[in-house]
Amino acid sequence: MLKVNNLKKVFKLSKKQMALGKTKDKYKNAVNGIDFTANPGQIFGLLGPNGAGKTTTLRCLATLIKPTEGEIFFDNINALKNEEQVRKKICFLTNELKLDEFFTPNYTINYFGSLYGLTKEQIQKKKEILFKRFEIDSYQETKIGELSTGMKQKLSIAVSLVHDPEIIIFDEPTNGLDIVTARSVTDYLVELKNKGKTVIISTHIMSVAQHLCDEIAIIIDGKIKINGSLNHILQSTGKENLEDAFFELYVQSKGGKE
Amino acid sequence: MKNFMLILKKELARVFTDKKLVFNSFILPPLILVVIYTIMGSQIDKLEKDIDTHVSDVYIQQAPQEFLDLIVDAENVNTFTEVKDDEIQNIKDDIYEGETDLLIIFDDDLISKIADYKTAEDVPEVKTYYNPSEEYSQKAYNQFISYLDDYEDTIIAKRVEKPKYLNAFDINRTNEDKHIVNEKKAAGKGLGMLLPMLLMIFLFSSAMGVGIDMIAGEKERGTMATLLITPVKRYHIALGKTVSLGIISIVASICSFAGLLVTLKTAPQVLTGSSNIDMGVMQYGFTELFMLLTVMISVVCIFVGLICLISIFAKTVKEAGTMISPVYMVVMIAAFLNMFSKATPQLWQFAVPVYGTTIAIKSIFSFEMTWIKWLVTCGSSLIIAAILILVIAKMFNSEKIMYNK
Ligand SMILES: Nc1ncnc2c1ncn2[C@@H]1O[C@H](COP(=O)(O)OP(=O)(O)O)[C@@H](O)[C@H]1O
Ligand SMILES: [Mg+2]
Repeated sequence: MLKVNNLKKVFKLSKKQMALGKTKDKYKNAVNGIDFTANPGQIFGLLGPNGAGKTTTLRCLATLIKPTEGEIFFDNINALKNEEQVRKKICFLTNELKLDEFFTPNYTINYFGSLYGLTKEQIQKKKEILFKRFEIDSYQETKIGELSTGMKQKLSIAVSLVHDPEIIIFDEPTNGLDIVTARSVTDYLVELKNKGKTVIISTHIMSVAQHLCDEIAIIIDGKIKINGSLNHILQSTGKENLEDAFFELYVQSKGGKE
Repeated sequence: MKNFMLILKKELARVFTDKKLVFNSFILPPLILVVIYTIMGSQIDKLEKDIDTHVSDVYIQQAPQEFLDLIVDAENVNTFTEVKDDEIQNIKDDIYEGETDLLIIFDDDLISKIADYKTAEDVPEVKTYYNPSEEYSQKAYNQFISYLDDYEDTIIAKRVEKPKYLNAFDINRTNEDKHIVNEKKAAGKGLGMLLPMLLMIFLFSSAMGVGIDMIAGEKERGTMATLLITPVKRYHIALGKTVSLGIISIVASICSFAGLLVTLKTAPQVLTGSSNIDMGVMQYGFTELFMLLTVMISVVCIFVGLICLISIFAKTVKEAGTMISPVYMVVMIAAFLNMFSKATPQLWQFAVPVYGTTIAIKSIFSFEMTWIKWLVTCGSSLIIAAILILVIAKMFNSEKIMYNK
């Protein structure tokens, strides 16, 4: 289980970033005090437009960056105080994380397996299962650089799961994937959830949130506007579908500002 | 510790199993060294043979008959003895251009002046003009200086009544521009002096290529972040990367060193300027070679530290390249600063990073290196490298630097 309390992340902007973002503010509140809980056996989705703070939130969860304020607990372990312990329990997947193209899938999974402290036997067992599941078997000794994009993505997932994490954090899982690979990835997320894992994803695609997630939090400008099951969101907003509900909240928050 | 070893092993595997990298980092630099210097060496040899058979043009003004008799059998020389005063400037210009080899001007009435002089200021004079940056000119000068010595001996032998002075005339006592040097060509002859600098450049550039890719390249390609989410401690990652780059660079410097040994064997004349003087590798003993290797390795540690530190700040390989360029320049300047200096360096100068190493290498080549100097050179380099590594480990903990997309 993952629990997030009052999470805030403020970036100090460089001059270049200020110019790029066309802003005079020196600080950017990328995440502005959010709370949520994600439970085992569920897929929790952060749904929001670009720049809402989804990636920043997930990076905080993955202990890649430190929040400015707030707390994160994984099964009651404080993530901010026990980074290394937490990293053994979680995995973080994003488009930006890549594997060295020079090495083979076999070498790569062995390498990361040992970095997670697994024994050779443990790695071997896990590797067989994962490579079979993602159909990487026959490419084990091919350099990653020579694999197709879809195959690389599958390998990334396989490698990140080598230590059998309890909590899977996935930033924009279907981004940049062809429909076939995208489907196999989402199918796998459901598989993981059914195994009792806690899955947290971010997305800006309505249909992904609607079909995949058990719980959805709509995040706009670093704040969670609503959080709950699809039904709960539709009921509270009085809308027919998620897209209408989202735009209702979006217009509200933008209108309130101006 | 186990994780550190894992990272180290992976980084080494990355480089040593990549044929292209192996060639570029380990084989190419010593190859270039050997090829350049072997070609230069054979050029020098050719030049020497050519010089031996070259027929020199020598202009002599107011030569006494006895001297002319002495040089009548001189080999490979064209002498011109009818030189008018208004031709002197033209001849000097020709010497500067390398068209003519030597000009000798005897005092007029040399014989009677020799007979009459009383004080040292009155000693008659013979002036010679040549161009030391021209091999032909140098050869003619050497040849005629010995004729002049012979001539002086015969006069002294005849004039035993003035034995207390034991010289009949001075050569170039008041003549201050006997060297008609073409500076550019003189510099060209100093290629042997380039060797320490070339070594430094090779050491830096081979560490640079691999180092930039290992850190900035991994950040750019997103493989660094993959490593950062593992439970490995950040300073283990930092150490794993810097130490492996250190090992790779030390292997590279051993390769360059081997290239150097081959160079010394195939082309000893590039160091000494002449193949007649046999000062090849045989003369450098174990001590010199050991000092050379250790000095090279210790400066490589500084290079590795600098390169890693800069690569951490960069987001991309390109940016790292841009950021390292000025450092590369400074390193080159430090390496070149001492190139033309003939002065014996002070002990503290050996402690100056990079610059100290260059003078150390120079000192080793000229057998002037002591263990104290060696200790100062290596010690200062290693201390600076250690400080750099500490800073690097700190930087790896900074999210702003490691994750600044
Ligand atoms: N390292 C950073 N420095 C400065 N601003 C950042 C940084 N990372 C993200 N931001 C800003 O924070 C906001 C949220 O970004 P992000 O979390 O990537 O949004 P999302 O993933 O929802 O599209 C954006 O306005 C972005 O420009
Ligand atoms: Mg994002």
